[in-house]
Amino acid sequence: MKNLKQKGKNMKNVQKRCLTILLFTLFSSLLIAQTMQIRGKVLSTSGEKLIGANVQIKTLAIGCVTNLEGEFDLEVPSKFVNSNEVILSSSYIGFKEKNETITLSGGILEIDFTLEEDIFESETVVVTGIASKTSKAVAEVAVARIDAKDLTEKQNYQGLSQLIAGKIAGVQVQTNSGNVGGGWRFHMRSGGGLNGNGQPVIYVDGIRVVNEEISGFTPGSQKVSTLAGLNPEDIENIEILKGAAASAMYGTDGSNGVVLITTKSGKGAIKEGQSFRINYKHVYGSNTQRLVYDEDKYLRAKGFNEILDEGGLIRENTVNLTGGSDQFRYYVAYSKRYEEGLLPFQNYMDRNSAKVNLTMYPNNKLSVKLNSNYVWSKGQRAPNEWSWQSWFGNYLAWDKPYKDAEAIKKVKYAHEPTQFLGSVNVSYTPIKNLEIQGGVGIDFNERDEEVHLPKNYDGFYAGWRGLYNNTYKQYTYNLNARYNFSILKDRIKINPVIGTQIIETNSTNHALDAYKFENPAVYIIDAGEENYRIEDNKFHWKKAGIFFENSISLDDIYYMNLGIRKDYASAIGDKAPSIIYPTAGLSIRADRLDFLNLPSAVNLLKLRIAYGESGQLPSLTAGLPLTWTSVVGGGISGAVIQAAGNPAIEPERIKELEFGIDLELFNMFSAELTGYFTTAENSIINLYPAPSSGMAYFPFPFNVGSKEGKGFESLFQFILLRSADYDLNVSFIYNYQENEITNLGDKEEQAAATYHILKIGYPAFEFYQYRALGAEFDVNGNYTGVKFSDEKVPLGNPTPAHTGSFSVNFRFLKNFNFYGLVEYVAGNKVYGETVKIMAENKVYRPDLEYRAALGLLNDDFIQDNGLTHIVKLTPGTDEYVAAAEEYATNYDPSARANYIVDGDYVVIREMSLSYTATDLIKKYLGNDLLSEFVMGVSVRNLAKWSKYDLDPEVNYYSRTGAIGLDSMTLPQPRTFNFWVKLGL
Amino acid sequence: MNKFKLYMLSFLMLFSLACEEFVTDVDPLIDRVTNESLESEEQLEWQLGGIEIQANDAVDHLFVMADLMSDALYYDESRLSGSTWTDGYGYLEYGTPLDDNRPSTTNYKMIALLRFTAEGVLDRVENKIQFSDTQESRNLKARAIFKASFYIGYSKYLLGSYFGIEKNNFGGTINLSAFIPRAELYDMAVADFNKSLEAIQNLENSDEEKNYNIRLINSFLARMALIEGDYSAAESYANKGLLQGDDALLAKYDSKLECSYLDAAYYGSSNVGFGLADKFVDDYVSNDPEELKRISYDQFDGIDGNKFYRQNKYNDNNGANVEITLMSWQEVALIKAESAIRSGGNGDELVNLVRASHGMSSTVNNLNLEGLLVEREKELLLTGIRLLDQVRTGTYHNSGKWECFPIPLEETSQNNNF
Repeated sequence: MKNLKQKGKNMKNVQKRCLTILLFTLFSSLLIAQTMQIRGKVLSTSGEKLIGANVQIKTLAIGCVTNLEGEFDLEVPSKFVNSNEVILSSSYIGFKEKNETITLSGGILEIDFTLEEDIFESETVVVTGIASKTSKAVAEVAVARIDAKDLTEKQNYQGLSQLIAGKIAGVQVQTNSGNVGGGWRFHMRSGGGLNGNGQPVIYVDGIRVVNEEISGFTPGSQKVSTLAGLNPEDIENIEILKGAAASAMYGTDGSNGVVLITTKSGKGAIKEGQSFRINYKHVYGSNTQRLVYDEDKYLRAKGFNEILDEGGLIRENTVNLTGGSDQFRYYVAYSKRYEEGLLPFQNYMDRNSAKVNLTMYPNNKLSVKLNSNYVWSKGQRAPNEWSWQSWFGNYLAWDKPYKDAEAIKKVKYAHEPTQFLGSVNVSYTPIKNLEIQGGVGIDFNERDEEVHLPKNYDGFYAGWRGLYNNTYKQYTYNLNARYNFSILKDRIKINPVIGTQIIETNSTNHALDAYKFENPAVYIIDAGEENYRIEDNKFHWKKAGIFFENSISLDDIYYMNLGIRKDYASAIGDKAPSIIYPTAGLSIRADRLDFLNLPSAVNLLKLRIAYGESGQLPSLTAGLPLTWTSVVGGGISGAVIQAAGNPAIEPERIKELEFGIDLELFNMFSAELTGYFTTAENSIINLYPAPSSGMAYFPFPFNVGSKEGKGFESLFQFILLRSADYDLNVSFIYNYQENEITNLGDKEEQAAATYHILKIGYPAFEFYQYRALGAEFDVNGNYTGVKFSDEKVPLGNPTPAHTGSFSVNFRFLKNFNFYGLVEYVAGNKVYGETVKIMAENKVYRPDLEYRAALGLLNDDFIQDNGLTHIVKLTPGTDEYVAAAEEYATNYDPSARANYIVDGDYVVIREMSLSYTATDLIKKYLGNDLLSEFVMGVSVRNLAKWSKYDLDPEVNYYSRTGAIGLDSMTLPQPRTFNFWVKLGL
Repeated sequence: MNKFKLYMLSFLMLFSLACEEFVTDVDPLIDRVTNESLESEEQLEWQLGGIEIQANDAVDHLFVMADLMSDALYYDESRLSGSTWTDGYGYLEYGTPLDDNRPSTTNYKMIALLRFTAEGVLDRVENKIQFSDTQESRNLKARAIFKASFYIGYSKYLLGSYFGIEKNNFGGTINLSAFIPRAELYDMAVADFNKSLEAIQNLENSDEEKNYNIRLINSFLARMALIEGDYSAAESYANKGLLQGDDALLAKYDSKLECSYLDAAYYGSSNVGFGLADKFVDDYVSNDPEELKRISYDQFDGIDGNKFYRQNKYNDNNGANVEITLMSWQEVALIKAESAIRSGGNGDELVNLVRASHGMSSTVNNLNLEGLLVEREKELLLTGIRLLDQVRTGTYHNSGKWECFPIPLEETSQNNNF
């Protein structure tokens, strides 16, 4: 659909250009002898004339476009008419390029092209390196691409995380909670190495943006992502390089992949006589409770369901202006989104985003692109998890409310994130085939938080107020030069790139709080009697890299890519670690190999293999030996140890081998299959010295760890129907990953995050707890508790082995569109601490039934909680012993292992129905009023089925804390939206 | 072509150098200094402050956990509201600490960190720092050696007093050494104390400070002798120890360095960590209301429907500013009294002097050994001494159980001597 629109836009320009060229050709042919004419038609496979298709001899830099009849007439100047063989190629947007070898021997040559439609968009140009792009059809690695512009027309997304979730093979998005504007993380392939934050690096329009999870004064220790401000409505597309094999040219930090976000920009004049267009979109929706707590199971569910029943409002207005001319294009947008989540009085965000993108072409050698994006938001998050104000604790998981609802409502956890992204990119072509690109950009990311607990709320604090500020200023500088040339009569094309990249980051962190206020209405920090937290941090670091990359292709069948990057990074106190990352890739378009004689039904068959290396830096100060800081306490200021580092520390190195097959058949089926092996070496493991050394609190980093990962990812697309009125596309993603810790120095295991372990022979961050082996009894046969294993044991992993999705897009009756996305996850564990806490607090019925049968509850409690029907078993009997064993190994909350359970789930993630009324409007109201009118309804998280009773898609902490932990965490809501979009 | 290669190569090399130069040019860290920068006279006061902070940070946690193990504080989930099984407190309460329990592991680490810090200062003072030849500098050096040596000795005293390899085999390890029994650790501590005494002799024109510190060291030597049961040595050291009116040695805390007694044994009104043993109120205070001057407590309703007590000696009434007494003339007086009673004499006068120092008018008369131990219990309430007293006098309530904290698993698993 979008290609057709694009086609129409370009057509008029193209016709004009074609005519000019035609006239010029005719005129000049009268003057100059010994020229050559190449004439013909460009048609689609269905016989449709392709108007404005390119026909060119790339090596001679001459070409023309087809006219309204799909005809072209290319004049070859006499200087080139030398009986050499050259390649004449024809291309058209949305179609696959076709090449013919011709001999320039003068006279007139008649030649026609029949172009195949590029149904699976394999000709789309994608990024494959820091300064290189190629079409998907020949790329040496699997490059995933999300057409965000297309998706945001079908569905409404709160943020980047929702936009990416379920769309890409090998990439999983894990959210912290159902909080609006809450935190989230990527999980790439088999999880890369052991160091760093485990996250891909993110670029927006070529600027490296900060991708960190920040914890300020968070309600219940939940972190938030610095990417939360990015507005999906501003994004044109997202490309993802998934591992080191593809991302080596991005240097250090690229080991978990690279996410490249391109924002929307102006496309020039809309049509003849119309230089601009205004689009307006209005969204109206609500977040509602999807997970209704089972009142038969959870004793306090009824009241809690009533609290969660109050849904939240969503309202968004977006307006953008786009247009321009051949020399100047612009895109200006403003968007305001107000969204309330569950517990709407304390869980909302109000996000404003303004954007200006300008592209200028002062002459045909120069282009200048200016991008600026400012997002300012404010919002609140509801107190949950482990805090005395937790809604979950007070109204679901604990035995009674320790704080009443009115008091909790007065608790304020407010935040105001702002982000400015700005960049200037210049492209200059001083001579034919040489392109020099340079760019400068900034990511200014700031987060302010304010918390307030009113006086008289809690005896301990007697009023509390906290302020938190976190800022990142990150600058990106890029400079690169690319040269194209060919040898052996154009059979071999060579495309070397050399460049440099610099990233400079400043970060600051401040926190201040005060408690004990005399007057509840005066609660400025100065008015508090005491303070609890004062924090002041400031860091500055730089990274610089130089790279050289060379792409070589032979006969448009064999494509090879070789590259090397040398990186430098700040490491205070030691010499800057410099590290070299190589990469190499090969792809073969087997469908173009004549000797294979493949049937014509094979539209594309590509084999590819690539290898690359990347790394993760040690922390900025890991190379500093013993350092001291100042501590003040009890009226004394003194020197205490800050840290002990290892001057010999090196970055962790990640190597990846990726291979795959891309296949397209009958123009209706495509498959992209990729396998990979990853190894992480020199992983930095912190070893804690023995306590008697006096240094036990100061971990010493060593490059002793290693990890291996492998996996498989696949994307199948079927085009089942394709006609003027009906399109039916179905796609299916399946991924499998596994990973294993292979070395931890002289250790077998190392504690990692709460409840997890790094253990040789097991995947990273395995759950690790004492197992409940059975029941223990006293002399009278009464159950006394769980018999635990002597040692902690691995109990499964929070990262799923199997993930994937199924999506369908159905356009029917020409103007209706249905879209659906189902995601699934299998082979992972969740620590359901919410349920465990309920069991501890005697509000979880399955636990209570056993307790009642085992005589662990008093009669009043049994009476009060409707457990009288449970038969009390007699200690010592077989039934009693069997029930006790069952209770000890499945329910007894003293064993965490009992609540580490399967977290597999299937979710109907997205569903939408839209109607494009443009035709209708034009029919009845004429052509001039509206150029576009679309409306639709969509729903997110319509239904979820999980082996875990509550929401498995929430995560109390992130990697530094616990993974896969539901600890009184707000579940994901079900979201309904109605939207209407107008184009003027 | 060769020329071109040469140009390229030079360009790349220059660029490499420029990159390296560029990335190392960053703002200095504002939160730390290097170890080398401490090797100057100007930085010494700051380091001496660091030793004291490290000591204060170690002892509060050690003492509150030792008091929990003794009969002074108790932990009971079924009685104290809001008290939850954290960090294996119950194991300490019943004298069954595990070697991977956090409280004992923390204590072990903190004591070693104190020693490491003090040893570092001593090494810099003796071997690295160039002192100028002025009286001020000489005095600074003397004070530094005194303080560093004292805390090195003190850390060894703590290690030998509160840790063991078995339930009543006291001692510990230093720098991954083999197990060092209590007697040996005490000998090492005495050597360190002697070194600090030697250093303090070098103080010029400061007799008052010099003599006070000599008395202070002797007071610790007296306590160690008492723990070892050498009463005559205890008496002779005590006679050279702190005198009535001498300042106590205090560990000071505030909101920036919070005292563990507040955290563990003084929660908010609705939550209580450890309770104060009933006998302090039901016996000692009811028998003599004047004891309220030494025994401060609050009363609450417990889960079981009965009342319970919480210590109020350390509280946040004055912010979080609290002080733990590490050594006082009162303790020295009680050591003298105990020695007197043990050798058939009378300690009443000394004990009454101690009581009077709190403004108590009631007196003791013909106090026996048992009575003296009760006096010690009240006078030295919540200073970590009670466990040592119970053990040395055979009155430990968890008879046959652990009388000390186990050397932590983190140590035994990494130390090849185990």
